[in-house]
Amino acid sequence: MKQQGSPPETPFAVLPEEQEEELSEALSCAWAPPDVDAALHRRLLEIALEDPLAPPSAAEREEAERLRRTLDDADDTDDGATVLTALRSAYTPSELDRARERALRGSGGGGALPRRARRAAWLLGAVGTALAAAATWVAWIDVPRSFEATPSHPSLRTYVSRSTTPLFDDRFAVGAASARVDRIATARARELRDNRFANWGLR
Amino acid sequence: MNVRSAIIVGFLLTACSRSDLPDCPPDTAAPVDAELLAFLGRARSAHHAADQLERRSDTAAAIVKLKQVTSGPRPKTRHAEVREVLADTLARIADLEGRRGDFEVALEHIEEGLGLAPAPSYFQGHLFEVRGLVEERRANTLKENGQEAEAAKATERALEAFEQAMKIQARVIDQSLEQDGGNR
Repeated sequence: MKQQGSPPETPFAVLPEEQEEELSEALSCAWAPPDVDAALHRRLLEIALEDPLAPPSAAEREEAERLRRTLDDADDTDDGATVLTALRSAYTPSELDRARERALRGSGGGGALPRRARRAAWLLGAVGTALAAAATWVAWIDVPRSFEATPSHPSLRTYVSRSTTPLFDDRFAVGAASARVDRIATARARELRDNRFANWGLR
Repeated sequence: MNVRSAIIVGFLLTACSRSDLPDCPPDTAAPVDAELLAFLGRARSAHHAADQLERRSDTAAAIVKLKQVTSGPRPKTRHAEVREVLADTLARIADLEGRRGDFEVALEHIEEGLGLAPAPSYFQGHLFEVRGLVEERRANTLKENGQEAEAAKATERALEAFEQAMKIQARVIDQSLEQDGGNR
């Protein structure tokens, strides 16, 4: 039984002060975002409008060369090289050393999975496949006919230029031209972002 | 194959059979690209700047600002969005010119805008609506100057333009409803 006057127990862990401040700042920025510095705003626009297919800059070439050397030297202290190695291993895993494999099997409890666990894994896989199929179905039904296959990644789609009439559902009011341009620019900016992700094969 | 496997395979086959829906591009239109966004961003800034100038009652400066869009750089590709934004900008310039009493100049901008919006759309309908407003203002001015016969002709032209605008808007709404019906 709890003693009277003791502080109420909370099911949540209390954040360290530093993280609490960080979270509090993020929440207040989301609620009432402050003005962005003009220079930073310009830079953000430049980055957003940068051509993703443009030839690499001198700085990018230099960084790529440094990364290549780090990978060749198998330097696992470099964050970028560590991420790349993990990605490469996921895509084309190298052969596992026999002794290492035996050690891993041993530490994992050994032997095959119990029958119940195999059934659970099979069921999870089946449910996941069904959900993925359902999601594909819904996405295909709802996606507007406003795109074509991305040349660099034919399985992905690129938004194409087209009339903006579908963005509006009523006659145009005199004196509301700015609002209309706002709506058009916002919609197409979103599509340009999607096109860039598609070009990178990331959508 | 057990029952669960059959259900999953059936589900997948049904989903795949709908591949005719999204993968057919509507035409060989250009992709939404940075050039288009740069144009739209420029137009957006010009319209907002014109809003500020209008609030200061500086109509002439607002027109100059908007003309920077219509006579400024355009993307090399003929984007539908560019034509539509230009048509809308020309309609706004025409409205401002009409308010200043430059009726002929206003109507020239309307004609230029109609060249960019040749098919029925909200943009085309809006241009006819502004044409009606320009003629209406012209009729009022002529009436104030005692030119009753000329004022009556301008009123007639205003009525025709408004009628045309209404027909176009009705057609656009009908088309939109048909498309909605087809999509259901």
